[in-house]
Amino acid sequence: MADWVAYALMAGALAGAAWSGVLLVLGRPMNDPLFWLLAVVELGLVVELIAGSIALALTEREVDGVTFIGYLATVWLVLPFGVAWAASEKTRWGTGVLVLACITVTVMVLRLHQLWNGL
Amino acid sequence: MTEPATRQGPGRLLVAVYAVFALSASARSGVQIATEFSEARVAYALSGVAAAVYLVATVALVRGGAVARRVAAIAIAVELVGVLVVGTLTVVDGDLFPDETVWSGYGSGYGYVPLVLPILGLAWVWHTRTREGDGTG
Repeated sequence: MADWVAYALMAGALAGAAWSGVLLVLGRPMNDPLFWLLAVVELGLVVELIAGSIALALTEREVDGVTFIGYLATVWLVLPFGVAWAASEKTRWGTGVLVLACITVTVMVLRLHQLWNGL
Repeated sequence: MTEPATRQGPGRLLVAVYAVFALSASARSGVQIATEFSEARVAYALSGVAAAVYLVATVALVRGGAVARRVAAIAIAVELVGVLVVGTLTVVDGDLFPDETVWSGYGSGYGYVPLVLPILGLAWVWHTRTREGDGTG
């Protein structure tokens, strides 16, 4: 798993968290640009699932494979569920769900990155 | 069609936090029990219990009917007792649980959220009860 992929995904998820945070303060629900940002991050996470699985199968590294696959197989579910759960709550609490989902994705990608590098 | 009170407003975020903990606790205990259960049976069994409690609380808060609210209250109360007992035990005797659980050190590994969450959860179940009788179901 290349470092830059993890950094890009974390940057995207953090940008999503910051954006949701601003909307939260303004008391607004998700808007279209934020949706598309999250969609791009989600696409990256699905690519990560495929690429990460292949990389794990081929690598000579000492990686905790079960935990790595555990994170890989669940991280891409967070944003779809988060967005769906937030969508029907048009108050700032719904936007808070998006902040939480983005932070969760950031932490999970960080853990994947750490696991891959044996940290 | 009105949604159950437990998942509206602040409840939206509360349920989301519970879902994150249900996911992380389940994944963690799944890995522990699948790969190294014999090494620390008590700690890993405890991880499994914690995961189950978070799962039950999440589902119950989402459903939000009269029965579900009672289930939620019980699950969250167990969660509170769990984090207090396990937190105290790990602080008093660190060797008792050789590997981390969600509740170790009062949830210090998770920013003490596991300690605050059950208090917020019980307050929320109580708050929605006084506002809307015994819920919508």
